[in-house]
Amino acid sequence: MVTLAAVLVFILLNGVIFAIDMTMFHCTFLEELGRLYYFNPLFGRVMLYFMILLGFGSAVVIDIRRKKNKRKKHRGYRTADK
Amino acid sequence: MTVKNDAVKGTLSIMLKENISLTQLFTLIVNLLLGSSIIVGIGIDAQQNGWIAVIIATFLGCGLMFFYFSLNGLLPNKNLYEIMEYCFTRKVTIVLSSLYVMYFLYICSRVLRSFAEMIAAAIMPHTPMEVILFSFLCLLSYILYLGLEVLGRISEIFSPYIYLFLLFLMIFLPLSGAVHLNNLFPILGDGVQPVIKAIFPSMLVFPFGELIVFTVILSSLRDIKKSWKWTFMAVLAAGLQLMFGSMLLIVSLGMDALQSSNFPVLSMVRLISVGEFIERLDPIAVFIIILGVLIKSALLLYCSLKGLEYIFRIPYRYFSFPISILTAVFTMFIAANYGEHLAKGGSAFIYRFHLVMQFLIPVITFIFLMRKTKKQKNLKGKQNGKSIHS
Repeated sequence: MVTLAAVLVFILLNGVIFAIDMTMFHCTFLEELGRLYYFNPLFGRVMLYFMILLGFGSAVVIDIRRKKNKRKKHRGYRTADK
Repeated sequence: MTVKNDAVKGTLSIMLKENISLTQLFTLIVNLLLGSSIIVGIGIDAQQNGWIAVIIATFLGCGLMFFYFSLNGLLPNKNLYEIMEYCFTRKVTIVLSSLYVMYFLYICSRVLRSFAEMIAAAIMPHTPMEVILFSFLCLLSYILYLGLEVLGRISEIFSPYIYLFLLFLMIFLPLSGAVHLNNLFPILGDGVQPVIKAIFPSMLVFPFGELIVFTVILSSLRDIKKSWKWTFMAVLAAGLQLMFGSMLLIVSLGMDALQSSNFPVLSMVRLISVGEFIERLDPIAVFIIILGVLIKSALLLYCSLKGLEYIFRIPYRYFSFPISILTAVFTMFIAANYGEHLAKGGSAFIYRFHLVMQFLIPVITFIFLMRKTKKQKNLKGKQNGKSIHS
């Protein structure tokens, strides 16, 4: 769920930025995509990609931990019922 | 069944209701309104009449706050998302909540971008903006993980420094001989038109329209009816501070320097020099700006996390780190440079976006809410009448 939320936020924010840029600069979707996600290792861009990975990675880890906790709780309840 | 109930109870225990005090609400409102307005300055379009525009906008802001307050007052203890669910269906509310999440995160990114540009240009020129943003958002995510109460306490503890700073400026600027009252004249030399143009819609949507975040936060107050006085006092106090700030900028820098300066407050503070001893007070100005930006961006992030909590039915604390980090990324993506960032802030698209999110959707919600509450009152009246007759 947290990963899904991160994906949703990623899509929504990209949507806003694309909409604003495309109306302001009259560029196409592909041009805007190239402008936003160009790769330049010397221009601090690596850090941005690292942050994207960190954001999604942490979301996945949180989801896994939530699932594990849920399973533990269920097991606890089952043994308590017995 | 018991397992399911206990699991729900477990989730609810994490979704505990947070409460903030009235003084905390006061400081949160003041910091939200001052936040990034200090960095970029407001009312500059109205030239030397900027302070008049700020006064008028403050009264309009009070009206706006009254509207948001009555929206929350009709359904106390419910935030904007829950109110929308009450008015419309859950499906419609999920769509609207997604829009609000996007909106709050976008404003948050804009606030953070102004801040990061200022830090990178004035304080740490050799540090990449990405590093500044990453460290700042790690701190924000930790604050949000701890909750709204902690944010309220931070705001309460640090707010007096803002007033001290303003006092400093009011004492040291005249002592440095940097105040030229002639800069304030002619008052309304070009008529009322420039003032009105500065207010509608730019000053109304920024910063006063951003009070929309309190439709999410007012539900955390213990007694909403008692808090209205504090809320209006806070808007008035922030308006007064903005007016004083605007006046100080005009009298110290003059209109030409003010319009060409990227960070007017820093330029103004650099003018202070008392006896060639008290000078270079920029760190104090930066501290005040950091405080304002911290509270403002944390409030905006909190509101977006609450939206995600509503959509996914998971406590918002789980989202705090990943969403904060993604916000840092989009802070860099929203504009290629500071010039583009400022140009986008004044574009018609952004104004329309603000107007829809700050006015149109809340007004529609308010109308639906009024109709529903009236219907329910009528129904209750009828039921009471029937029970008396029977």
